[in-house]
Amino acid sequence: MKEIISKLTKEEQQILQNVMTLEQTNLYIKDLKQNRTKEKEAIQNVVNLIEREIRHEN
Amino acid sequence: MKIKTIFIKNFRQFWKESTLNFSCSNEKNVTVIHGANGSGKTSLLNAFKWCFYGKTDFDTGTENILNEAAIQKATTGDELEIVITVIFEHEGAIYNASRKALYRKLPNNAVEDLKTVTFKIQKTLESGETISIDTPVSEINKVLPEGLHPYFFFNGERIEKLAGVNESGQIKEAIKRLMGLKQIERAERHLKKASESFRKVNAESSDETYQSLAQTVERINDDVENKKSLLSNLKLEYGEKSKRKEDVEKKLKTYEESKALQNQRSLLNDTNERITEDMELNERQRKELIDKNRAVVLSQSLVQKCEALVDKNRKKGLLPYKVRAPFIDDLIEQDVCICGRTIHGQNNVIELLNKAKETAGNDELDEVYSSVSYYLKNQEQSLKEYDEKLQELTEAQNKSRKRKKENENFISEIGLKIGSIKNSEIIELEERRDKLTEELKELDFNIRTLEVEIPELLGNLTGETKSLEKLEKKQKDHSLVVRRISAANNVAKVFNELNDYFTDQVRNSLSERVDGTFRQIIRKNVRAYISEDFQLKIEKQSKLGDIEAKEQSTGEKQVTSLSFISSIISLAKEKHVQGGKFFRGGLYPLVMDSPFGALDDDYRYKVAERVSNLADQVIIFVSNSQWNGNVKDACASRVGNSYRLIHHATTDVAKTMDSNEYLRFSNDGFEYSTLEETS
Repeated sequence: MKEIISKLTKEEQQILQNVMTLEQTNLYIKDLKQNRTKEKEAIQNVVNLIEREIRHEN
Repeated sequence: MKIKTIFIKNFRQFWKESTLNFSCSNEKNVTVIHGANGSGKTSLLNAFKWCFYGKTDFDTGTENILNEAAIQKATTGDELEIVITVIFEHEGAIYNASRKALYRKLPNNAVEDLKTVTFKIQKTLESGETISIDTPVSEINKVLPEGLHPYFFFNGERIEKLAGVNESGQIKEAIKRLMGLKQIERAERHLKKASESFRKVNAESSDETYQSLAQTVERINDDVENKKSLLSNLKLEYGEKSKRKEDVEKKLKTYEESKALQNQRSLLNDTNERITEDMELNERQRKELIDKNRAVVLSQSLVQKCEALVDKNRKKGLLPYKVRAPFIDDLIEQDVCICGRTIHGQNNVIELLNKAKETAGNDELDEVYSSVSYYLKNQEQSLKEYDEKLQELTEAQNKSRKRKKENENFISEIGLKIGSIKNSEIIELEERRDKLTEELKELDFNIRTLEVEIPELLGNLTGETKSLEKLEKKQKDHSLVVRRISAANNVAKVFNELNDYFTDQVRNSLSERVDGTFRQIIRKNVRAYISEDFQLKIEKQSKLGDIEAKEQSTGEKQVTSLSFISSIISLAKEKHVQGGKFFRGGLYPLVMDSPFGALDDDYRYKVAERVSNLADQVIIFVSNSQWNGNVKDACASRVGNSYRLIHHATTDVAKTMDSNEYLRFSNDGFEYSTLEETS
């Protein structure tokens, strides 16, 4: 597992960890795919996470 | 999750209110409910499903679930209700889940479904505070996802199906859901969507080629996702309808007029299932054979040309070479001609010898010549063998096709015979079966179509994505948005790899557990495992190594499936206790309806003996005959609570019978069931 994750940069590893935590909270929403509002919300949260991690300064 | 109590009102056989308390003790963790056929065991199992998800496994779905005695007793215009409340403990909180459906009585004992179903959950926290849950559907799925429900609340009569090939998708899905792999899949999907969102921003400042490619990738991605989700829904629908069809066929076996015909039809259907499997295997073998021999077939014209060339040179005497280069070298070096004269000083002779060396053969050429000759000789043989094998497979396939067609004709003839039996109930069942058969055919066609379309789309997607990524690389290397796209894609790829890695890890771990439980029960020298394509398989040892044991009895299949379920439960428990980052796991009860059906005395005893160890809480619905046999002896020490299902009947048998633990005469004039606690 470490081998797989080590392919990522530090920022990307951070994204992976945060997305995982985020998805754990989404896990209990039944039929997330059908629930478009919730699905959009989940995607926007991932977008925000990436924007926060990949910024001008890095 | 530990179930404490279930309240049932007017559901199926249960008139008015019935209450069942389940044992939650660690030592005596088994609750047994025993009763005669038709007294409500399967209804009790379905009471949980209806309460939690508003569904049942009955072939009529949620129609006719209102108790008949309640309908008859009510006056026209009266409102009637079905209520099921389940109280359970989960992660320190006490849940009260309750579903209620309302009906109105119409003339002639008909009822109108008022379509007002309410589902509520109240949760009492460890602090003692009780809260009403706003999103009860999500909450119940948080505790026990609907897709996992059949693994913990299962019908023993159907359990052997788990050991069938067609259930591999279901097994994979169950493992993924239970082990938290679903969230890895979601993470990958959301990251891909996030990447699309960044690409949209990037497209605004890019040329038309980029814009169009970005749109294409997004469209194909959506297409793949929609088709995958459609495929999984269709498979689910297929599974449900197959079960309904089986139920209808089972019912047809209960009528004297249709019993023999239905038995014959079941036999023919089983044979056709096997033929289909054989045909699929044959198709795979033919593909493999063609792939393997592609070079042999395609190189035919080249081989013939080569053959002609070698033959021509052989006739000319050019092949094989009579004089070889090393021989001429030796003559020059030793300075002696073959006639005995010295070569030294004879410039024209040396020149002639050197010239001859140019056309003379050498070891390398000889080797090539002999290998070409060998290849050419074998080529003919390989082609012959290939032709023969292909013909053999094609003939076998044609035979299977013919047999299948003949059986299908017999099956449709049987259908016509059953349909013409003068019994309205049989006719209705046969019509329902016909409808289900048609629907299943259509579903099967759609599933197969999607199974071809999805890989094609994925191939397109890979190509288009590569082109898009190439363009992105050419764009300003350090543009912020390109970096974000790249990060989203990289993390998505890693999630994809992690998904494969964990799926494999969990599969191996489950495989070991399945085998462990299986070997404790099964008498034969066999092992159980979950194959790479998630099929529950049995292998037997032979002198030639392990071979797949294809023919299993229903009882053996039940033991296999039971071992699988118990392994899932124990792995889920272990992961839950470990509390890892990726795997969620959980504590689940095991609720089984008639799990001993097809087992012989020995297996029945062993399963009953071990059943209490399979989960923290075990609830068994069992027939009175099985309970009073060796099942009671085997698990007596672990039984905490036990109930008897009593059927109240209006028949003369019930009236005249002296004493029966399971049957009583109904003084109300209605047929219904009640529960009685036994010691």
